[in-house]
Amino acid sequence: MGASYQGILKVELIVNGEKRQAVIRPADTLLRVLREKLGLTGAKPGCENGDCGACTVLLDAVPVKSCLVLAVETLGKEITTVEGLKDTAIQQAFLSEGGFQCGFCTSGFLVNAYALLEKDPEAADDTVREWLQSNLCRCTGYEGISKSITKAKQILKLN
Amino acid sequence: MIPFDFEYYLPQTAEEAVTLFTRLSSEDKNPLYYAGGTEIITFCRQQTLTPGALIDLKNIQETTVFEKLSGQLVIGANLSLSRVVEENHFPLLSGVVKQIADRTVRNRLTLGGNICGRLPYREALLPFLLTDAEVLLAGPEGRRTEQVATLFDKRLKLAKGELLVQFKVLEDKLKLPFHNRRRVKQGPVDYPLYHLACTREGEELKLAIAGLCMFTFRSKDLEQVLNDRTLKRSETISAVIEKLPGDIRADERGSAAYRKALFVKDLELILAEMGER
Repeated sequence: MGASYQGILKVELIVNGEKRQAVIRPADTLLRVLREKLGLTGAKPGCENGDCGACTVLLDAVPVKSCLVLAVETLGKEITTVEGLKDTAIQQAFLSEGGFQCGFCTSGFLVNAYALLEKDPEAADDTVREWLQSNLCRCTGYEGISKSITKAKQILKLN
Repeated sequence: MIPFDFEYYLPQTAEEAVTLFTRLSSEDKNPLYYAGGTEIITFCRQQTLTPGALIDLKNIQETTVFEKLSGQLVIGANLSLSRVVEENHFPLLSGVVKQIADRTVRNRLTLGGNICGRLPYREALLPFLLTDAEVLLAGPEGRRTEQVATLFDKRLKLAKGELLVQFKVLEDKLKLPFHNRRRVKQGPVDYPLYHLACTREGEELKLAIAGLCMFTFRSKDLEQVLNDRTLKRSETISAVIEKLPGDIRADERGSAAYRKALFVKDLELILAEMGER
């Protein structure tokens, strides 16, 4: 028999390698639980409609829009937010290349680009473009973001 | 934020899901089958859908298979579009679904969700219509297998509580030459003006289209004129447009005249490339 969840639930989520307790409803999105129950405000509520990508997180290493995922679906899965990307090549590259302007979209770009480079550290420009079509930057700072990813690839190659 | 509560169920088998659906319906909980969630969560947030229970189908193993078996490719209805593209057992299907939404959404969006959702495009259906695919369904009356084309009339005609389990496509249909073209107003991540897909089987062209009319279709009448080699190319195009099963759609993405002009160009290309005319 499968599982069922109703009412108020006390659950354990695995976020950035740590087990975290939270009290949630089955109707809570992962984005809301991360921000409001766990205090992880890196994933941003942009459109909450799956369009902007500012809320991107990894679910078992796959980038997803956390506004379109129910928290209850993630039980037993590994969640990685931008807070889990400390000291990574992509973080270093965004800093050195100025890959952000207002910064609202940055966490989504970082997480998605991180996932791409984990899968394909030498991703071709076309592949980068195809992956990052999932994220919008309303400052239109795409040039800096593109340079940051090129830089991250160089860092990964050197390491 | 979704401003109301619902129950969430995660069955292990299609039969368990169907039993749950029947019970929850009898309790007036207005259950919905759920898999990728991209559409249901959006509509719940907007409160245009207010289910009392979601039955998540992702853990039903047979709905996520993607393998060749006894001369057929078996395609689980809950495969994500990204997995379809990555494994690429069916190039026409990959070619169609890789243009739907964006990659991060495709990591969640499922074939079944695209085909059974509320949005009218149902682009993932095009390859199944063109390859005379079968669909396996599970419902309160048991299991049944149907031709996709028989079951589809503007939308899949599912009985209450029925769910899609698998699609099945004959292996020799997987490698048919094809052409697909998705027209959008601006950037690549948008709903389509239309998406057409065409295959050639021997000398016969087959054509299915989403977004051009108010519903997705493959029309035998239309294919008859498409394959009438007594007609000149320009006559074929006029005849095809005459045989469209509905008015050409007009909306905020494009007028009917604009869609028609693009469609004529694409038909010319198909006839030149695939019809040798």
